[in-house]
Amino acid sequence: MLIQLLRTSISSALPISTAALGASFTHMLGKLNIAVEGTMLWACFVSVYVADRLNSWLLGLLAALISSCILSLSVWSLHRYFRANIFVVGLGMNVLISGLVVLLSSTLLGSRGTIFFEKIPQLPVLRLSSSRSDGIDVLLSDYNVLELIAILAVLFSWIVVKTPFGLRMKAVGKNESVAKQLGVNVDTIAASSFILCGLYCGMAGSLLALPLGLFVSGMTNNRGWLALVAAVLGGDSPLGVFGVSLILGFAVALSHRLQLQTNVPSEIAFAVPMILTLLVALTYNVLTKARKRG
Amino acid sequence: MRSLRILSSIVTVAVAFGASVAILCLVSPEPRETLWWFFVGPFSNVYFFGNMLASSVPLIFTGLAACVAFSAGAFNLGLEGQYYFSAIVGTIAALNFSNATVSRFVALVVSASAGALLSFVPALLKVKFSFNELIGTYMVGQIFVYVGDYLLNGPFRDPSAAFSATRYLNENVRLTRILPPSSLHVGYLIGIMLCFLFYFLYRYSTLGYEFRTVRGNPRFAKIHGINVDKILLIAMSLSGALAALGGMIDVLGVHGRAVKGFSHGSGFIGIAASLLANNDPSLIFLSALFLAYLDSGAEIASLMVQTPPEIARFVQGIVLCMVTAQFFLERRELDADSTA
Repeated sequence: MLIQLLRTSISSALPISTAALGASFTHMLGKLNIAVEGTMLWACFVSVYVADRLNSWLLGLLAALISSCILSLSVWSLHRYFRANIFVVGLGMNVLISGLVVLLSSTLLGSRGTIFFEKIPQLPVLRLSSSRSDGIDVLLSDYNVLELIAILAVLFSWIVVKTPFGLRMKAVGKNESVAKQLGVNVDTIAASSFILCGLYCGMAGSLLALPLGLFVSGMTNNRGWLALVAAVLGGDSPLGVFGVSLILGFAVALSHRLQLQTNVPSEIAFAVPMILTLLVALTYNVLTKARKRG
Repeated sequence: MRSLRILSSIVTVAVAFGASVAILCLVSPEPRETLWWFFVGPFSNVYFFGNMLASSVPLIFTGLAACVAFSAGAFNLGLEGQYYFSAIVGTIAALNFSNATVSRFVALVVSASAGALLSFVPALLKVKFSFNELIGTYMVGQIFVYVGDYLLNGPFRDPSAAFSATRYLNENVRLTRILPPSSLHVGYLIGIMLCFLFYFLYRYSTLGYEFRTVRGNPRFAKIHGINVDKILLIAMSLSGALAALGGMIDVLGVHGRAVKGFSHGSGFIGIAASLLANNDPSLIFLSALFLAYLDSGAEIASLMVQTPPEIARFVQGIVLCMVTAQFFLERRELDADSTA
């Protein structure tokens, strides 16, 4: 029972953690990309739509990655070349995409509600065929290929931060002008970190939509915002970000379970991830504050 | 420089309109008809015009709320929850009184205090534990959106309604209509008055001066003997109370009861309204009107020709993306800024 819950927690945590890692790259740079929620939603739509039309989940994933990169880069370009406020652009991008996605789904697919795509090929799933059926087996088995890629992406981000590129990113975040005087090409670093953010958000969106093979305009359901919270709390450490995301994934899984198996009102169950996150964030904050004092 | 600024806003508006024309032509079966209703529709008769003004009222209040927080250098991302939840609580409280004046008074006071409380708590967390106020206000706001949904769907649902909503408030509790048959009500005038009141407060009062100093340079303000924490708490509570009043006035003026999802994202669009007005309280009713114009245009177009009303969100999004951008920036200025 508990193992099952843990297993679903990991699956719920993966989209959040990939998006959070994407956001944390821009957070390290000192320019948090608020558009994560919108970019994820966009990737959800593009991935299932393209996968359905071209009959290949891989092409769907690629299309989602590329188009999310473009979105992310345009947020950065508006900020860098036209001096727009990055926070406002991000907010605008979220609003724009929430409208655009419904527009597209109602004109291209003729429905504003839940759309099922039957033609999407099944994703390959990893099965461990050991004879034991104990906890570890349940915990390690049945990941689909996208989830495996997402796990690799988590490891990749951990490596990225250790490379000279990652260090430069942090340096730019700490003090842009000093970094510039030390010969760091600030624009290249910033653009690359926004490209990374786009890639990770695209991955997160595909991870939500492709395994289900359906699209609803509310399917990200605040996961992007939870990811931002994880990015802020995790700070500069990808493992920290991933750790916070795991807690959030647990909260999401718990909320689903509460809805299905208890008679807690569903509205309250929806709020559970938010409440848990707030409590975790608060405890963390109070504890670190106390440590600094004492 | 000034002419460049003006040119820049012209580009913003031109791009927004260009993009909306393009998307309207793409998605609509009869582009010319749709364009006509989208752009001219809100002015075509008294009913549509009044409704457009009425739909700007929530944005005036949430815009002012965002502006008050901004003007003390703080962010309030929880406007949506404050707007929605407080209006529901206010309505529920007002349903218990039969006297119109008392009921109206109770509604406004209860909702304003609920809204103030919802933003006061995250502000207090920031002051006491330096808890990031973006996260704090957003999370608390979202949680209470769900709690509001629960109240409407569970204990306070009107059993005879087809959807989640409270019972209707008395006809005489509602605000006076000023442009029948449209739903424009006196709340609009109150909103505009508040805009100017806040403009003068911000410009000429001591509190306004303290707000401006804290926003400009908190450390300087502290040395000057201004209680920075207190200013933050006041600004946030005021911001929450204003958002809540916006919700309550929308209920009293237009809906007559709290309906599930009646806020339609007014909290977030309010932030846009404030930024569009460059955080100047005296201009907020104009930026709110502009955003409401886009919204009503889309609604009328979807009513008259079959187009999805989400076009409004798309156009509002484009406006938001471009609103703080500065086109025709001088090369010199761009380079100077990136090294600074």
